[in-house]
Amino acid sequence: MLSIIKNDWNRLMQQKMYLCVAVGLTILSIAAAILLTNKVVAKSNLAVVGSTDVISDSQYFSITYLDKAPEKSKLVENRYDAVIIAKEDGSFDVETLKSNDYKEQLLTALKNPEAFGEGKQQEERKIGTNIFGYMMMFLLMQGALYARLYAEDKEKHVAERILVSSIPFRKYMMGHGLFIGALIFVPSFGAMVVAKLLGVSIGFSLVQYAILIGVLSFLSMAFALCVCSFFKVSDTSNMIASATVVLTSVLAGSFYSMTKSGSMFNKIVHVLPQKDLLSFADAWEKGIVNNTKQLELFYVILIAAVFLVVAIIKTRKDYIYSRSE
Amino acid sequence: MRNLWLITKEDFKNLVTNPMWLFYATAFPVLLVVILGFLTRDNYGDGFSSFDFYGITLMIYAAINGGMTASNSFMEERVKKPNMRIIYAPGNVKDIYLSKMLASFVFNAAFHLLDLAFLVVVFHIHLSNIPRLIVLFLLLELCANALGVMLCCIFKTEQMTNQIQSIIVNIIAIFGGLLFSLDGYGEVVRKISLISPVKWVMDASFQMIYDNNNSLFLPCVGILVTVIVVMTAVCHITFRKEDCIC
Repeated sequence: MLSIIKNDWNRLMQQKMYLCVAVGLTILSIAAAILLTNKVVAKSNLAVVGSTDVISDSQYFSITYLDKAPEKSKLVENRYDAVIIAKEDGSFDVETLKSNDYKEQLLTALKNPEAFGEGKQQEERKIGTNIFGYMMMFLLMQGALYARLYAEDKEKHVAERILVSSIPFRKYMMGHGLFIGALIFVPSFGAMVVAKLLGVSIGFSLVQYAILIGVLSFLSMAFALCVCSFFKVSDTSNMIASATVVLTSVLAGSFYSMTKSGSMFNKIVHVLPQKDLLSFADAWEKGIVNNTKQLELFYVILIAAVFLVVAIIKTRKDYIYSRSE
Repeated sequence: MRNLWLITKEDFKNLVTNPMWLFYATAFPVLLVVILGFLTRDNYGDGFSSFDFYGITLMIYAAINGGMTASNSFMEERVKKPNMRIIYAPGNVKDIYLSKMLASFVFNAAFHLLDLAFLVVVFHIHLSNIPRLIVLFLLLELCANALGVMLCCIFKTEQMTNQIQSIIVNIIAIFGGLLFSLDGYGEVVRKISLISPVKWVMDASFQMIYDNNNSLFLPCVGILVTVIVVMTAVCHITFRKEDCIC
């Protein structure tokens, strides 16, 4: 097993520039995640036309007073959530592209600003979970890309040769797995340590990050190996894996929650490990971890383990038959 | 010129016959739009649907992501040997990277436009100023493919290009607010978002569609064309025919 890890390491060392750029970009994307999350102001943006004292800036609203109504594209791009047009007689028109629910809420808020947003606090994610969510997609993709070490073994028929040697099959996969996992874990965790040392607020403590990133690296590695074990060509597996990662991460709401809690979709989406991991991280940051949340973390680890086992079994099955080819 | 045409044709055939790339170019963007559109359907009211938003932004995402095809078709195992033949053949070695760029551009652009047409028909995505939009879209496709080929020329290995390109593409997509809009998140985030070139393309598209305002169109076209020319020039400088020997 050690020799596999050492061999992987030597292969990467032959392409130092590659390693530097890849690690550098990983760190860059994490830095971007931290930067972005620290600057996010989650408020409803309203534009008010024709009056100057309809509603004041508050915890929930950021108000811009304009002379004339903003262009529609600004609404489309979410620059403003709604435009409030004050009429001569003191009543308002609310224009929005958002749902009728939102419009109702807004109208209520205009009448009674204090009542708006009660109970919203609990639903909002905190900073640590947000950073973790942004990292998620990048780290999962990294797994798919580093797994080429294993995919190349298959593509160039190195795997057949290794498997007739005295290395047990399990250890061969484990060696690759450990190495890929470490490659994902070390730079990203390093970036968090540096951020902490620089005094940037990152939400979780370092130990918590170590655990979360650890689980994520494990998932990423297991998923990548699993996809690679099904395809002979590294390009194909790479593209399938990254397409799946983008799709599922966005779906699981790693950037912001797409689904309303309690809806049907939300329950279905919980099949995705990303969703469970995020939900666990969220609960952990707020200090409300209960049995369900622990189960969610357990589920993520379980899924990852299943991926890994599938990868091992599938590869073993392939190579027992094809060794003689 | 004739050589370029012939090689491009072969490269195009190579792309079309690979089921994985067909899936990536046709089904993947549609899947993204449909899934995200359905999930966020409730957030929007009657006059405007989530498909109107995601149909545009995610097709832009698909366009910049399509550059992956270019880098993959350049250095794929099965075109390595053909590439080597070309460098021994009489003719211009520039054809190697130009043909990859053109072939994957035609491939991606054709399938993405089909996708877009499909989405417009099925989900009634609101469009206007269509000729200008298509020009912008095609230039963006070409730009993404040029980026892929340029990275290949610089880094020489496919895996490295893949890794770097996927990070670059996703960073500019997230910062540009393609996967979810960043404009509502305060002044600072809005400023950061302007760094991303796709943000400008998105602004230009939405302004053309909803305000009939073409003021950003020409600047965007100008910048995209400049970037394409610069990238091709970088290819020209960094491409060495020795790299194709295998």
